[in-house]
Amino acid sequence: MKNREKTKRRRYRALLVMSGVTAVLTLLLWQYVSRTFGDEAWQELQSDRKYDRHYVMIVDDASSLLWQDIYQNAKEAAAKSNAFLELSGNWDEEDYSLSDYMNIAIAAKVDGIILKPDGTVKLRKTIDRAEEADIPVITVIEDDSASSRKSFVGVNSYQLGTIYGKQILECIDQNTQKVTVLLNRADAGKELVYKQLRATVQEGLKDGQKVEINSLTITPGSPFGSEELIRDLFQDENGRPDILVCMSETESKCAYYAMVDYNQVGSVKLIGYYQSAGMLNAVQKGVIPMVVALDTEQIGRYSIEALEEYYSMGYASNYFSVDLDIITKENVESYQKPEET
Amino acid sequence: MREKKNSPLQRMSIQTKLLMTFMLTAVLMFVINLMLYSQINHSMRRLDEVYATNASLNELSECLEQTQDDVYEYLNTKSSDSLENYYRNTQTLRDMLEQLNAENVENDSKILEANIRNMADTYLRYSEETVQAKRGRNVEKYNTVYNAALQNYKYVQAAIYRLNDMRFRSNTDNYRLMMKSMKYMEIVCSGIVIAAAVCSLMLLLLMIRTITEPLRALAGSANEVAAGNFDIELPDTDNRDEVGVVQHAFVKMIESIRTYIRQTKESMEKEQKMMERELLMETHLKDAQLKYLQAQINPHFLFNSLNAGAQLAMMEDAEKTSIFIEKMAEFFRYNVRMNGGRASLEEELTAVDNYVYILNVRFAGDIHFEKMIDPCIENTELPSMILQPIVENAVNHGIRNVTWEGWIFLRVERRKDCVMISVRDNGEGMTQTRIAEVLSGKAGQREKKDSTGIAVDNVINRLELFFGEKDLLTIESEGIGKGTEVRIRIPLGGGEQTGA
Repeated sequence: MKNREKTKRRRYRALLVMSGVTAVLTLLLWQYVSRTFGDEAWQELQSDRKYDRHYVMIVDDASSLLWQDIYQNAKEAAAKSNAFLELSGNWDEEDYSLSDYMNIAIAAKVDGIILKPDGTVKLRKTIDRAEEADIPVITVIEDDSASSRKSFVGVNSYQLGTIYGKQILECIDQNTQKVTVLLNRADAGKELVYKQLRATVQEGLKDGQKVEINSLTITPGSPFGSEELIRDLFQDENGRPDILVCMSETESKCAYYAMVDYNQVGSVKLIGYYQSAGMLNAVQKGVIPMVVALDTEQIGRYSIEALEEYYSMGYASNYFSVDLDIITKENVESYQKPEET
Repeated sequence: MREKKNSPLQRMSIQTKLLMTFMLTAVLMFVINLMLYSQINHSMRRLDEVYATNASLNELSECLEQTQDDVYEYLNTKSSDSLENYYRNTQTLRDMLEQLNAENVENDSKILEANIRNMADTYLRYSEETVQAKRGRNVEKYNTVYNAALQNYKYVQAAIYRLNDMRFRSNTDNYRLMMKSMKYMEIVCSGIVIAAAVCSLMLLLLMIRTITEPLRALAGSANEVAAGNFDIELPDTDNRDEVGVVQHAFVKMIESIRTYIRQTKESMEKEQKMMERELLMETHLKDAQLKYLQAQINPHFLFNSLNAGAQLAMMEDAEKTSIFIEKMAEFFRYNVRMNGGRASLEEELTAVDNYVYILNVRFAGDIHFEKMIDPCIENTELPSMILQPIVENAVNHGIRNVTWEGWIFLRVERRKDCVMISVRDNGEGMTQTRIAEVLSGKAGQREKKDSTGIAVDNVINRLELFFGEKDLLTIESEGIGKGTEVRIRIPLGGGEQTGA
């Protein structure tokens, strides 16, 4: 009798425990589902961190890896200063120019603009208008010193030209006769770079050696123009250079593929630009001798620093110098991210 | 019953238990449904939000367009209607803009919202300037500012379009997430419903068990009782429900049946004892008779022969011999007849007279016998062959071997509720130890060969059985050489209480 009672009680207890466990499990499951798919997930889609200031980065090629890289670095730096950085210039549904984006930013009353100028007068005017509206403008990579921009973050053209020149000299051997530098008209300061590059190469040439240095200017605005131009260059056997210098990410890529397609690996030495995974791979394989790379982290960080400096001090340093790296086969590994190798 | 605190479950009636089980299940299901519906409602609200955000943006865009049209119309016609519309729309637009996010939030669509708000504000400033310049007929200014306003208008519209697109995309994501969540919710809810059903089922089972188990136990006990086992351990119940009530009643019933059985058993035992006593008495009587018959081989033949002897003596004129033989015959006849073990006191006394006469003939008148008989002793019955063995003892153990003159006194005295018989001798006497031995029947058979063979213990037993009383026979002696007195008390109105 007693035993039966005990068993009964044990059974009751077991049932109670089971019910309790079921209830707790149910609640946990419910909570898990609610959390995964409920309001919290909903809010995750729309993170609501608030910032004190709102900056805009306006570049012409916002979707390129270089700018995405710079934007991410700058955004992180901005977040640390409690500012939100918006990447403008990718309103792909409208054919807006940089000055349009500038106007939009001014109309939107942002707190600061990071701009890669194209050297046009129109853009310079909008920079001035932004200054009038008390919006500080920081130029990156390219400078427009004639405008009322607050600061410039990048490598100055003289320095860049010298570095490029030195790299060309490295690549020049006895058979080198022709060096072609691809210039983009959208990049205002590239003419200066080219001049300095030329000067450096001329100076560095050994006595008696003659190397023809010319530039190929790519006109902005015509879509796929640069690609066609580069293909033409490789197609024309006489015009084909021994060394080809690229000063933008897209051009580097185009030149690289054209070189491979026209079976010119080895005969044409390509000096690439920006440490994209493709370029780094090519360097590693020895297909191209070197890549000139900007420190995107520095660019991002300095541009935000410049703006923050402006807001805290009322003015900003005129120039933030960014390191320039030369990536060759020897040091390529340190630039490669694990997943890219 | 053990003192125990009843649990609430035990105090409940079956009706309440069933009701409670049903209610619990219903409440559980209700809660689950509630949870489900709330989730569905929540999802529906979200679905609404998905479209509401797009709809509100469209409204904003339309209002902006209207404002721009009004500005254009006013510049074109300078009509008061358009100005009025312009102001009205401006107000509406401002109200709408108030709804938009104004903070710098890390969220593409929200930051765009803030941009739109500011841009629209800029646009409104330009349009206001335009209208003011038009009113002031400052042609050059309103042209310039209008262009700026127009440009801004385009920007704002583009931004709204972009935001709309962005929202649509994120809403599509949300929608997808929601659908996924609904799917998961379906699975989770099914799981919960199943779990709840299992829990309810177990609860129900438990409840039913609390009802059926006592019933089953009760039925088992009833079966055992039916099989005749009243000593079962009754199922202990603390339940206060209907089954508990039945069980309590059953327990009471079993208890009263037990009491009744016990009482019946007791009375039966009593009856049994009585019957046993009767049987014992008969056995003793038979024993006495047997012993007598053993001593007297064929007494009928003997006393018939004695009668023939008596007649022969008469014929030969030997009168004394004839009387002697006659007395002998009479004595043996009495012994043989015995009338079912009972005799009257007179008959007993006659038997004693005969016996003494015979002995006196044998012992040449050595035995002096004196009797004092109360005349009021008629109808006094007693077991037969009681007095003769006592007198025989008085002769054999008392006076036979004494040197002095032996006397035996028989005295019968009627008292209030009894008749006292006393047989006293002046013989050898007895020690108290010997008296105790004789009374307890431990004296053993030391009868002489010429005895009738009936011992004192047999006499005592037959007296006790006959009258249903003890201590009817007592022996007294003052010691060795001082004689012995045997007293027999015959209760009146008693005798053969058993009604044999």
